[in-house]
Amino acid sequence: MAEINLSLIVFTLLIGLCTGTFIFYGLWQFSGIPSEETSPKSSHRVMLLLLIFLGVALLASATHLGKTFRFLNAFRNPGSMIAQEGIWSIALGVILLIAFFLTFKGQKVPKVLYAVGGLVSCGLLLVCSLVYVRALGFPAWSNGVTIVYYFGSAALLGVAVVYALSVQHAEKAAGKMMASVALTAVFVQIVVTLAFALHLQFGVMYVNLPSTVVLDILRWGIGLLAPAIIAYLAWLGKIKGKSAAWSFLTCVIVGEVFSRLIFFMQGVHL
Amino acid sequence: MSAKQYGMLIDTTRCVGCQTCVVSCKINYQVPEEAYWSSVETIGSEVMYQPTGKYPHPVLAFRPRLCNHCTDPVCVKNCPTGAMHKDENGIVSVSQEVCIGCQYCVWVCPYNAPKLDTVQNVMSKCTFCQGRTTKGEKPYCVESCPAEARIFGLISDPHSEISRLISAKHAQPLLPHFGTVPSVYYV
Repeated sequence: MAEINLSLIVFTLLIGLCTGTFIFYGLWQFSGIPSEETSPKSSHRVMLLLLIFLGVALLASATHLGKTFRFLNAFRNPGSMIAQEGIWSIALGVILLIAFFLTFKGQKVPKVLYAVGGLVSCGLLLVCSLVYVRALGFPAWSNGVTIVYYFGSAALLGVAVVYALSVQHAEKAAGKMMASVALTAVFVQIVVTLAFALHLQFGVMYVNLPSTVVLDILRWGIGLLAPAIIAYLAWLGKIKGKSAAWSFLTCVIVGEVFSRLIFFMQGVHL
Repeated sequence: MSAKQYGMLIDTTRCVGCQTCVVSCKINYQVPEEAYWSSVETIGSEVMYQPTGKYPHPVLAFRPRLCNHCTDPVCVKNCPTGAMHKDENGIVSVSQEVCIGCQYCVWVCPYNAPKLDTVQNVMSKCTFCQGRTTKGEKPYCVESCPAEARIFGLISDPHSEISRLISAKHAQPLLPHFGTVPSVYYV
């Protein structure tokens, strides 16, 4: 079994949070629902939060190296997906910094910056997933499903954060719409999780994968079913917006941690 | 492909699973702690020395494993630092002074060949005994094998002994479908 590396769990979780939130926060701004009053204030805090997420993610990534202080060597072969992770992370960091300074000066983040940042976020997610797809030694990871797994996870995390942010600023139009978006994101993640489970069951050859039943139950219960129920009840109006959004976010984050634990446990080398 | 490509032919019908190759490699290169550049596995079983098949036809056969010094090595392609490289003689080597110890070479290698040097915190691996082979000597694992199960030589030379034996014995590389074009062949 591959080593359950805490720094890689932190890295993948925070990259998912950062990219997913940027993409869906951008879409949220495009939707026109956030008011002129709350938008710049909220954007400033969000960009700061995302910068922190990205910074901690990169630090976590560097700590898993045998020679941490040689990390600059990791850019010598741009054809490697590890180097690509660094390059795309820096690009996203630059975009987040520009957005942060614009909002610091009280200006709105231009939509074009959200669009470029969204594309860079997708690029970063793609190269992060390709790190695992190219890992021929680990049949559980070396498959196209891993790409979908990465995007599905980031989408769910991003929607969960934006859901919490939208109710925080008491956007009147937000509650019901965001509950339906959250429900859709959970549904997509359920399909992705099933696809990954089918791949593990029928697509992995040459290795015996460990059983992860307990973690699977926790992942499904806390990370998928509970958020689905919360979002559904919020959509029906049976739970108040704030409690729904924050409990949804908590469940999703805990569920995605379990999901990563399962993912790394399936890393059995040929 | 390098102009020169060293390779190895391993006859699993001769291998007795004594692990002398493993020990000679470990001792001569002082491979640290739990790392082994060379290993032996029991064919068809995850448990060493566990026979497979049923009475009256049990099978107990062994397959020595080492770096396959692939012609198209994925470890070289995917190493972010360029520390993993292919020498002119086709041997895949790691420059430890450049390596960052990310272990991604282990992830991408279907043969699980690169090993973490837990003392230096960088990668280490089988060198095909480059220091010896450039002087015309055999690698330690070949030299020490009591069953003479291993043959080393230039597989890029179609007239070499190893090339002739690979062809005559219909030797096959391990996991060829990954497309790395391994230089270690098995009978």
